[in-house]
Amino acid sequence: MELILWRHADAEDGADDMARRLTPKGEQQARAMAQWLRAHLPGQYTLLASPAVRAQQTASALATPITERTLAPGASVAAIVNAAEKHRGIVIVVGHQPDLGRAAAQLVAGARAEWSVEKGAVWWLAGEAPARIKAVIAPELL
Amino acid sequence: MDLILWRHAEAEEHADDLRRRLTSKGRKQAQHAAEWLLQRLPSRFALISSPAVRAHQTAQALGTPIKVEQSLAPGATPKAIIAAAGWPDSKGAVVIVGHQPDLGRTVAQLVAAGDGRWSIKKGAIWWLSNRVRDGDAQVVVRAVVSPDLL
Repeated sequence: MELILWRHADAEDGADDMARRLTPKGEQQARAMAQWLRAHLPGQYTLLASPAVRAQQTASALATPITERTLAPGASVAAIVNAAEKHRGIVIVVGHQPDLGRAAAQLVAGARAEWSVEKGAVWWLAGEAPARIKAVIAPELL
Repeated sequence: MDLILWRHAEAEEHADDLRRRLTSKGRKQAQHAAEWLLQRLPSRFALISSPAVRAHQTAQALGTPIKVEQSLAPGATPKAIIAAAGWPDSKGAVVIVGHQPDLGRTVAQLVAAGDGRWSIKKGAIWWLSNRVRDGDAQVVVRAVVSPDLL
């Protein structure tokens, strides 16, 4: 399996966490990352996104996502892995911190740890646990 | 600081391991990776290489002065690599050109505090930085790119 963890891009503040929208900088980050992904993804992949608006907007820069309620902020590692395992091939999960960093730590190092994942960055993991880190890229380094 | 760990590009076989030279594919890999780095590194950075020819040739693609560090030769321990880089207290960016499994053991230690041997492809780059957030020292993986993704 290949799993791409993609953290939502820069978002505005807001009292309703689920309704926060991307800032113009965030929209630019999402577009740039979508372009990088398009250049490196094979034709077939599955795009899953948290229902939070900032995750939906980020994912939509690439394609229309499948919304997974279990990927909302606070998603457990098990919820992220279960959502991905329902699909074959390459799965992209657009979600939140610290959830994605916990999933990466578990899948790569079998550790309960909070790895830092920058806003708008992707972590591309390959293989069964322990997964290999195939690529990581933050928007500023595109 | 920014710490860039760069594995030497593809090299020819040779009885003397330290004298193995890059293949023509390896030279291209090194050139692509160097262009990628030069577009993203600050204008001043330190470049430190293993004494092995394949590492030195990879480092040369950056076109800046190279400090050759004997302790980065194949078989370098994470401790030696971390010391050569001056992690975590150096200012600015440090590029280390070295070998596997040495670099993979170093990233496993820095990122996961573990003793794993993480895979790093020939010619690939790991870009780490450190920061303090809420009083905790954190390691951030900013980029992992291999020649096929550049």
